[in-house]
Amino acid sequence: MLTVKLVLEKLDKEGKPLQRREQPCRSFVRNFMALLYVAHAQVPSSNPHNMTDVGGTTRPVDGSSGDIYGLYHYRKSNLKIGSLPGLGEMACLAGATNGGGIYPIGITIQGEKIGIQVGTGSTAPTPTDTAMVIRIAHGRNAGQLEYGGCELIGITFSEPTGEFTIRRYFTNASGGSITVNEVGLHAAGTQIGTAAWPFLIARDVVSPGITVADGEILRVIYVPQITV
Amino acid sequence: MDRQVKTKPKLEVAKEPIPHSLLPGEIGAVLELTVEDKRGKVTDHRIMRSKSFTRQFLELLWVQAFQIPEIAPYSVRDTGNILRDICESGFTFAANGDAGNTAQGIIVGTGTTAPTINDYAIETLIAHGVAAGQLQYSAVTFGAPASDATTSQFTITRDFANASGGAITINEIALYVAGFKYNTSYYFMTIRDVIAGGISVPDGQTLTVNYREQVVI
Repeated sequence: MLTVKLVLEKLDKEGKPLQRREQPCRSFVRNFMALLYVAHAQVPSSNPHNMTDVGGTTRPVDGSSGDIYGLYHYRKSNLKIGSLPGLGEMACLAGATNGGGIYPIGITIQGEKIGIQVGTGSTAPTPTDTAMVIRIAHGRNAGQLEYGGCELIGITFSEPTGEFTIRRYFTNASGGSITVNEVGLHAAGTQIGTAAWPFLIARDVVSPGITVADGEILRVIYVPQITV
Repeated sequence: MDRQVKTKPKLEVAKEPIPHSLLPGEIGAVLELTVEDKRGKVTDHRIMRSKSFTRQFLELLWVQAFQIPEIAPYSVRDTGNILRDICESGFTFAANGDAGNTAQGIIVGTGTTAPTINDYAIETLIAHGVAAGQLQYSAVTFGAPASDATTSQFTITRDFANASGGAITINEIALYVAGFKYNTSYYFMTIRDVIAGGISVPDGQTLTVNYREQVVI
């Protein structure tokens, strides 16, 4: 069985802990199953699986990677969670259809759109959620938080369990306080040789919300853990 | 009418039933076993929680979520007990084995040893064939994702037809999936379950195994 622990820690600007909250993550949604299905079934580009991205648009996601001969043969960013900070353009690998070694390198997603997300919405999660209710954007303006990179660290196994950590820092330089009421995860899905999009795969409500004052830092950690 | 063994992997869009065996917050699988005779009459039917994701499931998720690159691969133990360097790819988690393929998809065996997180292969594989102690493996098929108010799932299915001349008792069931590097696919066990008391498949009958991978809110 796989369960996921969700940890939120508020730090001051020097990194000194101010508050810690730990709760079980209960809300992986249907899109997570859909990305696993695409991978297990090797859903072909000729008959893709339609999924709703975080912008509410239906996207044809496939498990095809195509190019046998290219430098980046068989590469595919489906299920990608690790990401760059903020607005950094991040190459997403979607496979290639040409078979001649020319690989599309212009498919990108901004780092803030992949990995751990935060928001102010407080609506209870459902399996068909496809987006944060009110996502907090990356930035330094009022109501915004600066998104750090989303890291994957520390995969470890000790009978009967195994786990790894997904972590992201959010810095408040907005000039005012922001209350985080929801936390989520975005992962990539791709269409061969064409495009990549972010999909919501988990969303949890944090209640009561955690208020991050100007100058403070919020560290959000997901720990997926299997136990036999 | 005799049942036909599926020979090619197939994607189904048929509406699948959603059993509720997992608790809120759990990500796992429900295992459904159905034995039918030649006329399609059900002679045994069981639904149970799959208990045993192995470490390779978490490792393949790590490889794909991290996007582990070819130049710095991650080593995962394959079903032959060899550590294989793999990287992110379009083949990670592929379970679409053809008929007769016992390296990929749902696999059955006769072993009874309790699962551990470090299991990397089924204990005693039942080979594909019609000789004594063998079963005919169909192609793996898939049911598309579906959800209800609390549960999301998709289904992986394989039929095992017994033409061996005698009954065969299946005690363990596993899922083998692919990982990839340098134009080579390797195979890894991500789930292994032991069936308490086993499930007997008489000669002439067919076992259908459904793994329904689920998440519950």
